[in-house]
Amino acid sequence: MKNKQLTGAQALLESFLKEGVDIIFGYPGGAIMPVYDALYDYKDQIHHVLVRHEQGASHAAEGYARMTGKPGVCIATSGPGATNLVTGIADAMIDSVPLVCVTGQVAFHLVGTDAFQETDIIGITTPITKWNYQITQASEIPSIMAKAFAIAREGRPGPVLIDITKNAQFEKTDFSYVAYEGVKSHIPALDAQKKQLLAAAKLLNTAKRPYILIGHGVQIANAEKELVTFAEKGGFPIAATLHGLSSFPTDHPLYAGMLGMHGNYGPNILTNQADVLVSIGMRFDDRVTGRVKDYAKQAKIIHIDIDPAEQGKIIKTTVAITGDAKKILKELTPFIKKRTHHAWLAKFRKADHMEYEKAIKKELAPTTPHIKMAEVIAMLSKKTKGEAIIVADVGQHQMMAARYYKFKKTKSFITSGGLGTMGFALPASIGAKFAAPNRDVIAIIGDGSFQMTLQELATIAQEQLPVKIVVLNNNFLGMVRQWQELFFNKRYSFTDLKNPDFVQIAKGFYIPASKVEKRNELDKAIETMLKAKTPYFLEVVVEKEGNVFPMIPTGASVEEIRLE
Amino acid sequence: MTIQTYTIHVTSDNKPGVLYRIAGIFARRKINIENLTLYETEIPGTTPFTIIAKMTPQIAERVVQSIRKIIEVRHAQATTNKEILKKKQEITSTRELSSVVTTIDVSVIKRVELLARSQQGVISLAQGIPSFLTPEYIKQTAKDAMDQGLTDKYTAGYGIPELRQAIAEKLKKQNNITIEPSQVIVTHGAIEGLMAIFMTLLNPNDEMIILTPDYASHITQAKIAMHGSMPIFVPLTETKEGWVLDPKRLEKAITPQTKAIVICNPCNPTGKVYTEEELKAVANIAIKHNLYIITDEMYEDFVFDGKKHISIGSFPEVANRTISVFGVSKSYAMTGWRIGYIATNPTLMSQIFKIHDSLVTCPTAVSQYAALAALTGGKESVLGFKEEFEKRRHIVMEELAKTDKLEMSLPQGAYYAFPKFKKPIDDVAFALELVEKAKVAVVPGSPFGAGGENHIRISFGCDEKILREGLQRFVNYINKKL
Repeated sequence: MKNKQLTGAQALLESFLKEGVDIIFGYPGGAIMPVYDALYDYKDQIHHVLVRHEQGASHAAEGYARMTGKPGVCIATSGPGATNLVTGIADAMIDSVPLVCVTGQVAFHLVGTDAFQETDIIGITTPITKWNYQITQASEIPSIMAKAFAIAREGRPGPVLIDITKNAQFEKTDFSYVAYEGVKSHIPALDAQKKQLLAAAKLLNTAKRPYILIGHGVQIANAEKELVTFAEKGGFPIAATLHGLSSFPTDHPLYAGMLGMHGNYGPNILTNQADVLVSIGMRFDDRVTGRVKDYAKQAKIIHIDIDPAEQGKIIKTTVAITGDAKKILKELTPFIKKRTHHAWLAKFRKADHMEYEKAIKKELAPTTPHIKMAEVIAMLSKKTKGEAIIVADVGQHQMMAARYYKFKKTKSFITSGGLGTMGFALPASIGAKFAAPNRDVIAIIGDGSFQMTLQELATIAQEQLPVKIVVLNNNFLGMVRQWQELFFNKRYSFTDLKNPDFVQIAKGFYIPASKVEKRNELDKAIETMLKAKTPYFLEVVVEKEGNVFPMIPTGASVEEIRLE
Repeated sequence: MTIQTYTIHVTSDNKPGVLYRIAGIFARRKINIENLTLYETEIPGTTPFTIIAKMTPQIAERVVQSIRKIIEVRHAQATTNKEILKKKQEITSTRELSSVVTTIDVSVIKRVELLARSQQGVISLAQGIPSFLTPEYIKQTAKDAMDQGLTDKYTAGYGIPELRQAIAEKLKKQNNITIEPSQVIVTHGAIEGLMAIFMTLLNPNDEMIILTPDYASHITQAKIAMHGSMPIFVPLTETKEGWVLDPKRLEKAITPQTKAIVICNPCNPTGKVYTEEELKAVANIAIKHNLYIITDEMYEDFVFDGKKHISIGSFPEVANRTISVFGVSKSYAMTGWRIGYIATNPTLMSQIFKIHDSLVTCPTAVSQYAALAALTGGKESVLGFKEEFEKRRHIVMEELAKTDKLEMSLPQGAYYAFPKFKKPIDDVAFALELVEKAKVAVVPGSPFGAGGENHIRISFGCDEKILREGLQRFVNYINKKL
């Protein structure tokens, strides 16, 4: 059978269809025009979301990928279009988010001549992609796209960038698409790791104070159910990293809370009392470990991760099991003895009580004249029954969202963890809403972060996407200010913001908006926002110099966590 | 933490950008690369890197882990210089060995064969040994020569005069190569002849072209002769009708350093029999670029379907630049006797002789008398073997037709089938797997040079019953596994 002849641009879009892509985020320009021209005929099959800056495209694709587990797709032109994607790509790399980024490139005969809008995007993105490749002839498109999607998705997910020269978009090619099966893997088969599985089970079955730390890997592997079974059988307390949030219900009796610099008191301090520590799909980030030298020295460590490079990278492991968390938990659970650890769990409850008395109470039942961030989050949590998708930006508001939203459903918390990208939340919430149109998507953003990507309000308005945007405005770069207060003698160097009228801005983008300054107006304002069938913008003016506590100062041990 | 010097070995697909990614892993940790070497191997499409850098054991571990994550990288490992030294001392307790010998491996054919022999009940379709015994009249002549005391002493280094005479006559009659007996050297099998030729012609920086897929030992021999440099591969094009030479591709591979072209005709492992037109094209290119032509015509008597074996040495225009290599091993079922021969012009002859003399002094006396009997006796036994191989060739085609996992053309000569897997596989790993799991030994295609990857070589030298059983095991296994 003769295959049909397509242009490279058509072949690219056909490849998308073969991979089940029905939405892409992008921005046109000279070197990607043949693709946009072809897209005109694919409007019914592929929804293209026109962002207002390419960084928005990459974050939106991340939001989409985080919700669906499928690679998010974004496209941009050469030169500045491509470089504008870079922040999102780096963000996806460090947070293991599958992305397929397609950039246009000048025609191959012009490559290397400093042509108009030419940049070496392959060179630029090499350290921040799982794989990248420049396509210079149309015939490469089907096989390379198949490979790109497979690499983005398989093993530890990550971003892939494919740069396509303009001539390759115009040229004709045969199109036949074969799914790529050749992604090499350094992961040994599970039956070859029987020894490790048994060793892990033995450690857990004899442990007096076992403790499970979960990360992003649980959601990536869709291992939430297996995790509950595993934890309940062994009676193991569970704490989550920032990206592990929502993969284990917060109201479960075994749930201990959040780890990390601004995590909960008990989960951090008790790390150094556990005798067996099991990490599942988390990588002992420095925000979690604090000073590594004094981290969990007393504990035997079982590290479950799909990426062998993570095992032993920061913390010396006793038993390393490499692979998909879901499969490993399924294999491991039958070897686990049914046990309970009442005394050990009581320690967590006691620590929780301390944290409540010293840190939480004054946040949730404040006496201050100004609204506190925690109040807003707690109210959102209550009104959405803990079932909304929270997309948090980066800063104090992010930590407050993570601490005070009581997640009941998995895949409900999307934020920029590893890279800490300010400006992430607004575009990411676009992708998340497209991925989960039937769930409430609430972007929690600081006033500083909001001004980094606020042009995406136009995208939201154009798509009439009912995303709810909450800006917690303290007229400060709050987290930096907090550090200046605590560690730099209150020298507030360039952190106070003279902000524009955010409500006017939102209205200028034709998005309904309101502003709250008084505590007694908050309930109604949130109610109005949640009820809106349209996008909605809510500015909440919050306490100017509020701090996030508890806190493990940089370079301190998890034991040195401060409650106030 | 103690900083040590590490040598990191990486094997990667040979693709642009890999070096950039590897270098980046060092650069972002502010580690200076002290030494970096890239080289080529027999396995097409892969590049080994050796990187030397100073770092702590922890960093070395992290660097290697990061290198392994690069999509194109197949393997990465770090060793300290102390460990390398220790390893070298395991090979030899005194001083380190030649840099060439440490880069070459025992041929894959022999490795598969050894593995097959170490396990019970494995059928070998690997090594190219005919199942027949040397014909009786040849053995008798050898015995007689021993009894007459003709085989007790060194013979002339070139070989006994009667044998050189018989070879000259055979070459005239069968190969249309007109030479004097003085232009013949009798060698210890063709393999010694080829080694002597390569060592006579090649310098370390020369380039020698091998039309591939080609007998793997040619590649290793060339590497030894050029002190580690790889020959240049020009792959033939695989078509439904067989493998075809593209003269343009051959000519494109030629550089000022190119010195010779090696042509194995009929070809091991593909069974390719070169046409007159193809050989003329090679001859013209050799003349145009002033190159030597080296042949390996071991399978000259086994050419099927009415095809004719043509010796490129018979073309008068290239007679002065061709070195033709033949032998009696395959034609007369004499692989154990180790007799081959070289024919070329007198000037080259005398130079090649210097190497030959150093390697073997003279060919085995008793074997020379046996070879004499073979070449002067009738052709009946040869024709009988050929008929038998032709029959076995049909068995191969018949049995391999029972799977749709392979594609191949009918072998035109020799006694090898060289099917290709439709799905990409690692042929070396798969060949080893076949021995273990399917109890049948075949040779992987990669070591035969560019174009050989994703193929396996099946020898149909063995007898019918074994052949059929071996093929059935093979076909059943791939039908189940692939």
